[in-house]
Parts: sequence; structure tokens; C-alpha cells
Amino acid sequence: SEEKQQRESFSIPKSPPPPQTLAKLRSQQQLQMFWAEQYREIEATTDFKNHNLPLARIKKIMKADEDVRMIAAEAPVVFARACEMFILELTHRGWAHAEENKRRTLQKSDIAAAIARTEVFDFLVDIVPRDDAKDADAAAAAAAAGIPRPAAGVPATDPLAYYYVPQQ
Amino acid sequence: MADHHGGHHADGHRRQQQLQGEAADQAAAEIIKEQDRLLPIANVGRIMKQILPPNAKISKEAKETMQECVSEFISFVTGEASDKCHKEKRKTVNGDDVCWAFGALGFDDYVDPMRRYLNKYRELEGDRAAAAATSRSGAGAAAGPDHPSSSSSAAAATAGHFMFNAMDRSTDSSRQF
Repeated sequence: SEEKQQRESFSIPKSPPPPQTLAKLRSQQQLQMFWAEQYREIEATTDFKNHNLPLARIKKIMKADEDVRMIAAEAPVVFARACEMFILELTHRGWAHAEENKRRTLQKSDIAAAIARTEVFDFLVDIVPRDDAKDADAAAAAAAAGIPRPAAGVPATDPLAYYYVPQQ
Repeated sequence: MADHHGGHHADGHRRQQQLQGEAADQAAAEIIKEQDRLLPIANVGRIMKQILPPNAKISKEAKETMQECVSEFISFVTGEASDKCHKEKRKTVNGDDVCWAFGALGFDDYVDPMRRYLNKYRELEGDRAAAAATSRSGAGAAAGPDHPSSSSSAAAATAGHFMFNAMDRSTDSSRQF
């Protein structure tokens, strides 16, 4: 028992998780909060007349499918709210990528990265090509790891074109 | 002779202008169609801003990408909902079909909030319809029992009541019930 106590006292403390894992956990928590907030907002909704997106335009997009014959009045109303949630979610995920790159401007590459990282958004791969998303993610990973990247205006093939990004 | 050639030339020029005009109209129509395919960029940008911190900015390219994504989202979900209707031999895509499609396509987080939203919308629409029916039946009562309005009888029918017009009522006192 004494030996066991000794062994326990000398046990190596667990190393803290890497910053990327922490960022992922934080992002998941934020998304959970986001969905909870969305549900709360829906519970509080009383106005179904005014929408943030035009119902007529939504109906036109739905009608673009030749198989769609008739659309119930409630369908575009549901879509208006669902599209709002979709925009918010994709923006939220894209912003996480922008923050990883220490940027305050949301760019197309951020949305591309959000699509690439989220399985349910696979249907959007034709809109944002895989290569763009991969490049965006690779750049983010490189920046996080402090890997050198080519200096502006110098071709990447130049062996002297790299500089180290100091960790902030 | 020169006049004759000049006339031909003028006709040709006019025809060319007409063709150019038609091409321009066609191009304009295509642009309109292209715009109809997307939700307004101002609305999309406004929604995007809601979730970002006040000091954040959004590039025009990001807004345009989001426009494309949202249209694709609508088409993707509509396609699935439409397939369900087709299989069930129904012609109308309703809110339940859309909510079902969210789940079928893996948008699990959307299902419960959207079902709740749909139910709330239906409750409110039901209340509005009932209120409209009540107001119509009120107007019918004001018209008097001998001249019930058609709208009030329709409202009563929807409410599940029986309503007899003066013409339907038997005035023969000899009839035994």
C-alpha cells in the first residue's frame, strides 16, 4: 500500500489539451448556445407577417425545381426562418475561421473553410470548390503552428521567400 | 439606283439594330432571372451582421457566396421534400415536408426549432381564421334571421354548426316530427 501511495504521488500530471482542441471545444459550446438561443427566439415569435427574407423570392427558388407543382403558403414561411438560421450558422462557423487567422473581416475563404469542416454542408462543394477550402484550412493550420509562409509578392518556389510569423 | 442601295442599307441597319435590341433584352431577361435565383444581398448581409461582433466586417465576396449557398440550401431541401410528395402521390409541398426533409438530409439541429415554428404559425393562422369566421358570423346576425348572409353560413359550417335558412325551414304546421 505504501508503494502504491508512492506511485500515486509521483504520477505524471496530465498535459493540458492543445490550443486547437480547446478552440474546437469552445466552438462546439458556442454552437450549442447558438441553437439554444434560436429555439428561445422561436418560442418568443409572435409576428409571422414580417420576415427578414422575401417569401416571393423563396417561392421562386422553390419553383425553379420542375418537379415542384404546388407550394403551401406555410412552406416559404418555414424556409424564411430556416434560411435565416442557415445564414447565421454558416456565418458563425466562418467567423471562427477568420478569428483563427486573426482577421476581423469575414471572407469567402472563411465560408469555404466552414463548408469543408462541416459534413452536413457537403452539398455546397460545387459552389465553393474543395481546393479553395483546403487552401483556407491549410493556411489556418500553418498560421496556428507558426509554419513559415511565403512573403508577399515573392513566388513560393523561392527558397528565400519565407519568413516566420511570430506567435501572438 | 443609289437610292435603292441606300434603302437596302437603311433596312439592313434597322434590322441590325433590332437584333441588337433583342439580344440586349434577352441579356437583361437573363440577368433578371439570375437575380431571381438569389435572395437579396442586402437582406443576407443584414442577417450575417446579426451574429458578428460590432467591429467585424464582411467582404462583398463573402455575401455573394452566402447568397449562392442559401439558394442551394433551398433547392436541396425542396428537392427532398418534393420527392416525398411525389412518392406519396401528393401535389402540394407543405411545411411538414420541409421539416421532414431537414431531418432526412442531416440538418438535425433545424428539425425541432422548425417544427415548433411551424406549429406556432399554424396556431396563429388558425386563431386568425377563427376570428375572421366570428366577425363574419357577427355580420350575419346583424343582417337578421330572415336574411342570413352567405358568409355567415359558411363561417358557421366551418365551425361545425348546422344552419338552416328560412327557405329550408318547413312552415307546414301539420307536419309531425
